[in-house]
Amino acid sequence: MKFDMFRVHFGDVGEWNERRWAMQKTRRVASAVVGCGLALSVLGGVAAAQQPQLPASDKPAAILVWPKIVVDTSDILETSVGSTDTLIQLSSAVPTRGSKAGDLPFLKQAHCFYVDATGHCSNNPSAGCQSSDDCIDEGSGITGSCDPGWTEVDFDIRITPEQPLAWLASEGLQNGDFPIQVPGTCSNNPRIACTSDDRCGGFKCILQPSNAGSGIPPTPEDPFVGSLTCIQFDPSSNPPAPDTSPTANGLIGNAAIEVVLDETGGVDVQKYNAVGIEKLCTFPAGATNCTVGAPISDTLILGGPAGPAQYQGCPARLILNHLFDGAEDAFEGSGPVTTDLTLVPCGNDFLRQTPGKVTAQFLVFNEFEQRFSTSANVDCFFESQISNIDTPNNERSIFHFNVAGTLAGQTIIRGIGSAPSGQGLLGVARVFMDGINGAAYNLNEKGALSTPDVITIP
Amino acid sequence: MRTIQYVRAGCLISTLAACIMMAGSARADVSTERPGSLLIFPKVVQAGGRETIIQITNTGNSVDNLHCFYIAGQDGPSGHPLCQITDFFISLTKQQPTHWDVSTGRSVNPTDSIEGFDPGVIPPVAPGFTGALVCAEVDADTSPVAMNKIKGEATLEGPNGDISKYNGVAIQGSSPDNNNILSLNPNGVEYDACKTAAIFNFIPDGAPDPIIEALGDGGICSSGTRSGLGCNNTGDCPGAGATCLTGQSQVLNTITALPCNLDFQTQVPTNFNLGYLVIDGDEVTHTTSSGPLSCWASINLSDISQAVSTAVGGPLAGPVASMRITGISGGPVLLVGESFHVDSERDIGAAAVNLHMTGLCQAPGTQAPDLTQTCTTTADCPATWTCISSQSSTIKLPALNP
Repeated sequence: MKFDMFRVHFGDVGEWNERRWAMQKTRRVASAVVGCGLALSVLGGVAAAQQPQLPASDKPAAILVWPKIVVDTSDILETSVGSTDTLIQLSSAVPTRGSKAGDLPFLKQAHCFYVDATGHCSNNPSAGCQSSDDCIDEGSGITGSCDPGWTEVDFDIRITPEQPLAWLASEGLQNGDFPIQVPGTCSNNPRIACTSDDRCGGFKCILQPSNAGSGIPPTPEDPFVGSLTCIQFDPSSNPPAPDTSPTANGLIGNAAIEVVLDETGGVDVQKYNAVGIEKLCTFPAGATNCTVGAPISDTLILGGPAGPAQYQGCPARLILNHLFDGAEDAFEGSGPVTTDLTLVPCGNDFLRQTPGKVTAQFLVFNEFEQRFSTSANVDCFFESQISNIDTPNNERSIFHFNVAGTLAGQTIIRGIGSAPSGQGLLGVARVFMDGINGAAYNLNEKGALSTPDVITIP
Repeated sequence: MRTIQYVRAGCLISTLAACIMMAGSARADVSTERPGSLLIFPKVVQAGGRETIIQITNTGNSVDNLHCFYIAGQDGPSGHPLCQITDFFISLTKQQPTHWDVSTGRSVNPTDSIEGFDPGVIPPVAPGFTGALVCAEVDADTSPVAMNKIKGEATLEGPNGDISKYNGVAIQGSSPDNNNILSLNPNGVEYDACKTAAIFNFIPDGAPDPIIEALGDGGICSSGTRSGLGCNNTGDCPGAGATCLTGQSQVLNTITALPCNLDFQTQVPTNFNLGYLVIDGDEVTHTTSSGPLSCWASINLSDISQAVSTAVGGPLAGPVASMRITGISGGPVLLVGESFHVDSERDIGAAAVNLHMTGLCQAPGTQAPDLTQTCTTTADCPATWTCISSQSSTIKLPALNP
């Protein structure tokens, strides 16, 4: 029998058995195709149920990243326009079950890491800096270099269902400052704190979710410029480990950078939502299963191939809508606009104290649809006025109105690189009118990285 | 021949099944960080010394047409919201960002001082405008399409040079019907649905701002040469016996609500009510609701007694509280929060923020979800309850083609 891609030729009656066999074979092939297709459909459906969305700042998540935390209470940094501190808010979105006993299993633990990216002056290592402008010795007139730094400080916060918490980055929260310090109260006298029945003289100790065991240090130095990452842990496991329970995505947060302005004595507030990365979960028959991915260890896998991935992947691209630096804002004649961009790598090695390293590529469009591009290294933490990304001379920058020629622009930011912790980026932007009054806003995201980012925890 | 027909039929069936499965589980979304087909700015202001700059970007590689609607929510002569609609069209080329001041709009004039491709004629809003802006992707015939390419931000400026900024809410579409009634459904078949509830974390209304108290003018000099002027500590108050009376700073909050049910055809305003549940750091909860609202609302939290700090006679202790907000009638709503930080000399710093979104559990046989029970999935809810993560609504566009 001669087989042709589109036609099957059969000879005379003598080939009846072959024809019959061919028909059976064809039916089997067709059935197999349909079966495979349906199987693919089912798998597609399952994959869709597992299909991770991108990190978001408007939904509860398992990992929260605040890309920018600033403390400069003495207004030391040249880039500061006044004394600065950050009010950090963290809340549990895990619903309460309506009783203390019912809520006990839903106590969560946020295992947090301050990343201190403050530089230090070569001529005065104890002095924090952001640029060499901060390193001028007024006595000798000698300018040192601002050497970049990267250290991390970790701490734990226990947070009860639906509880809102807040602290100043410069102060933290110590034992006694938390709202619910008491792990239990005696049934015969709620004013008596207890952890076991022994304390209650024969009566029951009613345990409750509490903040006991929490401690938030102040930022390790002042001035401080860096970021904060919190990972949702399950405190009931021994030792506490990243949460894989059905309520694994329970944290929401935001930060308000407040500046008491030198020039006017007034106050400026820049608020943004923490970026949330969800634990991957499936939803078989109305249940929630968040044990998706490789078994939890000290290595958290964000995105990448479906098998090992434990958390959402980081975005393939960030989109920054901005006004070009130097553009005059017509309203109130308030002077030129500037935008400040902060980027942090999605992945970090907190165990070996090795920061993530990514090269950020920038593709800039103006309102004429004209296109420009540049790149910059993101080594642990990147912060820059956008017109300083590609040049120290702002007015020659592709991010400056003088070059771009229009007020509004769109910049697409893509991370590339081969660092073990991955190439994903997260960020936040701040726009300033006249260099003083600012507002923070979250970046948009597009597409998911096909390669994983990795967070390694001690 | 039949062999090939069977094979082709098998391929078609399997492909169709795969497509249906994937479409049925397509993850359309309501987001403040991803492009969509509907873009909503719940808070647009041109009043009280404030102005708004709108930025919209086409993130796609083809032309994107938008049909946009201003909704005027300020009170009219009757004391009720005007709920007046003004619409216009803009067209963005590939990857094009655009912007305009709402007070001046934008004309199509290559020789004017506003550089860039003019996207279309954008009318200015009237002085005193407070309301919202809604834009929908349409094709050249003004029929809705779902390209999911638009994103945007609103910058609120003033007074006195202060600014705050928030992301427009983008709603993704899948396959809109070829009619002008946009169906926002939890199954996401046309457009994804608005979420059931929002969470606003805030400093209790009227409470002092801890950073202003620590670093700025949190107090007033009691006497001396700087009597009545701002101070941080007694050292700022020269004069015998002069002290700095601290605790004079305040944080004030507003939430702005736009219902997801919008009728741009008949311009009948949507009447709605909001339910509030406030939780403080001690997990004490307080519930209340708004009065009847129409088409758009900007609500001061000082008008919600349960959201007020003990510092000014309210019930909220602690440095921070969390408020859950849902539409209890009129369908789901979209919300933006803004906080105003005021020092003792009445200098103000404002910050707008997009609210977090969540679902609510609903008990079987009840009319509405329960504001006391948040959820992401049904597994978060009590037994037999269901998680209502989003709720249906419709946006009716005017039919321009007979």
